[in-house]
Amino acid sequence: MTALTTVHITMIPTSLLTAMNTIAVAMITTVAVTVGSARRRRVPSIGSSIRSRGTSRATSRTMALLALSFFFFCAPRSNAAVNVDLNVTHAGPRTVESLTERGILRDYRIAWISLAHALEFNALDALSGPFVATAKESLADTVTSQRRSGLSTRYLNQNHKVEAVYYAPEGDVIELHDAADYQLQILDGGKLIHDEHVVMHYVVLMTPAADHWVVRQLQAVPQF
Amino acid sequence: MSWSTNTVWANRRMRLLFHACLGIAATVGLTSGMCAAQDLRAPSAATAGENATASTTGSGKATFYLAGPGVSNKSEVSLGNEIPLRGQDLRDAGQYFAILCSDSCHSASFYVTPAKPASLAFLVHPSRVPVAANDAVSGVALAFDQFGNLVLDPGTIGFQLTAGKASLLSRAVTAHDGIAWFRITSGKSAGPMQVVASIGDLSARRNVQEVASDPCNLRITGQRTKDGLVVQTEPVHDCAGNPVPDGTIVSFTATDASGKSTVDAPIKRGIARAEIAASGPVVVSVASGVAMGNELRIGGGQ
Repeated sequence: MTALTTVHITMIPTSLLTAMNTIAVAMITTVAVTVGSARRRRVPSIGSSIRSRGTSRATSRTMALLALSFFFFCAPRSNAAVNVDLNVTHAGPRTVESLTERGILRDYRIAWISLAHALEFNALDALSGPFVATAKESLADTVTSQRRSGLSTRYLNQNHKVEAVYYAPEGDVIELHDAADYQLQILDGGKLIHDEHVVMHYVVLMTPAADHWVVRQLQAVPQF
Repeated sequence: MSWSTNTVWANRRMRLLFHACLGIAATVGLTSGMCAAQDLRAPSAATAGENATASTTGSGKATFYLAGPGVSNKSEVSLGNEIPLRGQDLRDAGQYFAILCSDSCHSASFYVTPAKPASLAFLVHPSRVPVAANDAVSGVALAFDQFGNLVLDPGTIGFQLTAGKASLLSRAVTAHDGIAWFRITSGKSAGPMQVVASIGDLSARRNVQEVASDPCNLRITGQRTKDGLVVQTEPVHDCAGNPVPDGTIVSFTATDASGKSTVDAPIKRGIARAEIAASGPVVVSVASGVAMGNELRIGGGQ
């Protein structure tokens, strides 16, 4: 049942989901305002029947619950649809510490969520945290170019099987091999011009920043 | 006419609808068949920054898209002609998609490989290292082309380490997945160490300061004064004979009848010196870091 629901959600276009999300937020706001005004009105109407107050409160709660459910249902799917498996057993010469492994897994996943968001909505801001140097410049160029030509790109249902192949002796750089598959959609305005399930191989260089890992190089190759 | 027939397709209206659907499907199929004749061929190989061409067949106008790392272009093209792909649009290595749309869209993908190495990123650690420390110096070299693409197969990268006139390392390392690295024990003499990575005409140079290690063979002398005694070390060296830098702390411990007292003193001009208040016979010991020195016994009469 869950799987069916997931499939159903992923089939809804992102623009529609965003619109639905906005409606959900509006619903939540309306409910909040209604509840607030009801509370304010309650002060002079202390003598009104308990039953009617109870009904009004129940209705508000139901509406709020519905709105919240709607909101979470419509939350941007790019956040949920990025699966990353990281294998560090073959990394060397330094062994990847468990804390580092968790950090890299977290930050690499965030990087792909940000990448998908940036290229779908042509938003440069999304690239600022997770990417630096060549990776950031290349993606920023893509976004700028997409804005100019009116294109956008969607990365849907991402699965990344990542293997750490090199971890420097001092822990200042890690190289990852990412065998990724996802649904790639390229749109010209609202028109879908390319829709393909692709299997990609990425060579990735990540380096530690102040409190997280950043992607310095993200380069697709034919094979490892 | 009633809708209550035995089967849906027995109904005349539904049959008409079915035939209409078939007609539409056939039209769509024919159209796609015609469009399939418009072929798009991507370049078989492309190098970063170099011009390439995609070829098309058919006739008429179409919209051509080039989507890849760093680029997302759209242009109008004439079918049947070659489509030039500018080198400046192919600067980033990776996978590109060429898409041609007229009635329908066709696509082809191709890879752009990095150009030849144009720069070396060379990370060397640490910047200061004690002499004779095991596996203490390491370096990682990565080759990039002029567009910042990682060159995954740059060949061998040479590493040379020299301290003064002595060569500590000269090694050619084959890069794997674009990375070549080394790790060695530091030299025996304090002073600057030159670390060079090179590939072809390219080289990157880094400096590592080798400093003396922990003190070794601490020796102290002392004499009684009116208020106590004065003790001092001989010039402090590490085990390789390098003078230990000024500021290194040396601890003097004096034990007499009243108990034990410790004085910490920094090395100044190679020597650590301390005045200790003590009376009667005293035993003085010395230590710095993990190194212990000799014990000095000074009698009460002196």
